[in-house]
Formats: sequence, C-alpha cells, structure tokens
Amino acid sequence: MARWAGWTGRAARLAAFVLIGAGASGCSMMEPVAPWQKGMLAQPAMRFDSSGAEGRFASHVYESKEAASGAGSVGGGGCGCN
Amino acid sequence: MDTMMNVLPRRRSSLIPLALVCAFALLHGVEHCAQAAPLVVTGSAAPGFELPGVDGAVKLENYRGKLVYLDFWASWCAPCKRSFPWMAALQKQYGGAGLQVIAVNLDAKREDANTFLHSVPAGFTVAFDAAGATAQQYGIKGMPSSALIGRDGRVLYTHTGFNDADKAALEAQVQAGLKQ
Repeated sequence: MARWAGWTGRAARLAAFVLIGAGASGCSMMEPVAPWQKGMLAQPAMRFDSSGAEGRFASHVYESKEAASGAGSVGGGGCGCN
Repeated sequence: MDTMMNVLPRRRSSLIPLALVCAFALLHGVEHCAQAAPLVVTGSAAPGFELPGVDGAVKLENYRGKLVYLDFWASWCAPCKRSFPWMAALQKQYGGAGLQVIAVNLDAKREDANTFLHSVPAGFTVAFDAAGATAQQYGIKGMPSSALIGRDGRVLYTHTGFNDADKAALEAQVQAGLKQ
C-alpha cells in the first residue's frame, strides 16, 4: 500500500505503462522502408555471400535439400518473384 | 483485512490505464500496417507531377492526349537496368503512334543517376525525384514499377518488377492503350 502511494510510486507506474506500451506496439512506430529507399541494401557490400556464383550454389543446395525457396533477399527487389 | 480492502480496489483500478495503453499500442500498430500508401487504382486519374528532367521540367499534364508509360527506377536496381533497352525500343517503335515513356529516377543522389544514364542511354524522357514523392503518390510496391496512363489521363495498367517474361504482356497493354 505504502509502496504505491506518493509520487515515486506514480512515476514508477507511469514508466511501467510507457514501457509496456512501447513493447506492445513493437517496432510499429518506425516508418517502413519504401522500395525506392533500398539503395543502400542493394550495394554489393551488403551481400552475405562473397561471390554471386557461390551464393547461387548455396541457395541451389538449400532449395533442393529443403524444398523451399526465397527469404534470401530483400523484398521489392524487382524480379517479381519471391 | 483493512489493508486488503484498500489494496484490492487500487490494484484493479490500475489495470484500466494499463488496458488503455495496450489497446492504444495495438491500434497504433494496426493503423500503421494499413498506412503504407496503396498502389494507384486502375481507372483512377493518374496523380499529376512536375519534376526536373534532363533538359527542362517534366510535367505529366503536358502529355495529355498521349499514352504515357510511366516507369519508376533507380541506378542500383538491376531489373531497372535490364528494362532500359526494352523501354527505349518501345519508345522507338510506338512513339510515332503516340506513346511517351517517362522514367522517373528515385536515386537519393543525382550523380548515381547520371552515372547510370551515361552507361545506359535512355532514349526517352527521364525525370528526377530524389524525395520519392511521386513514388509515394503512386504507392509503388517494388522496383521497378510502371503505370500505363491513357490519353485521357487515367491509369490503364500497373506493373511491378521487370523480367523477360513480362515483356509480351506489357507490350500488349501498350498496344491496347494506343487504340483507345
């Protein structure tokens, strides 16, 4: 009872609400990156693989092993595929 | 007992603002998801624009009466690069019949666009929109994106992405648009 009384308790409660609110809204407060703002991501330095051939080989193996494709690149890249 | 009676209602009342905060956060998130500008609707009037071009301003209104193939591109986008020779050929083939290709560049840096245009000559009208305001207006979802704008200024067709398989369908749309 005494713990919640007084301005320190109120401040703590307010802080808790703000934290919960921020947490519950996740990253939704951030503006999503528009397709035309992905220039930096398209830089060769942003690749995970060291060379295109190696990357294609790795993804080919992955796709045949897992019977799955996609998720290896940034969306909205323009090929219209997944 | 007296303390229990005091504590319980206080605790319960503190749940109301908590619930409000959570509801607000949830609504905010949902609203934000719906906020991404929707793709321009086929049949609606194409949003007008006036942008700096290679030589002079490019104003959509000035192309009323022509079929406009509006393309959004950037120097870092590989499919855009592949689409350039195709768009140049399109302009060459159907320009006489009333087609105008307008390619809006969305690079943040103008030099990047200039370097690109130096290596891949356009052969059609190019405009520059570093802020991406037109892309926002048309609500494009990927790079490149294109919109076919009829002679009456209405959107006839929209397309996202570019690969060899799309060429035939796009050309068919251009041919159909020219007949209108």
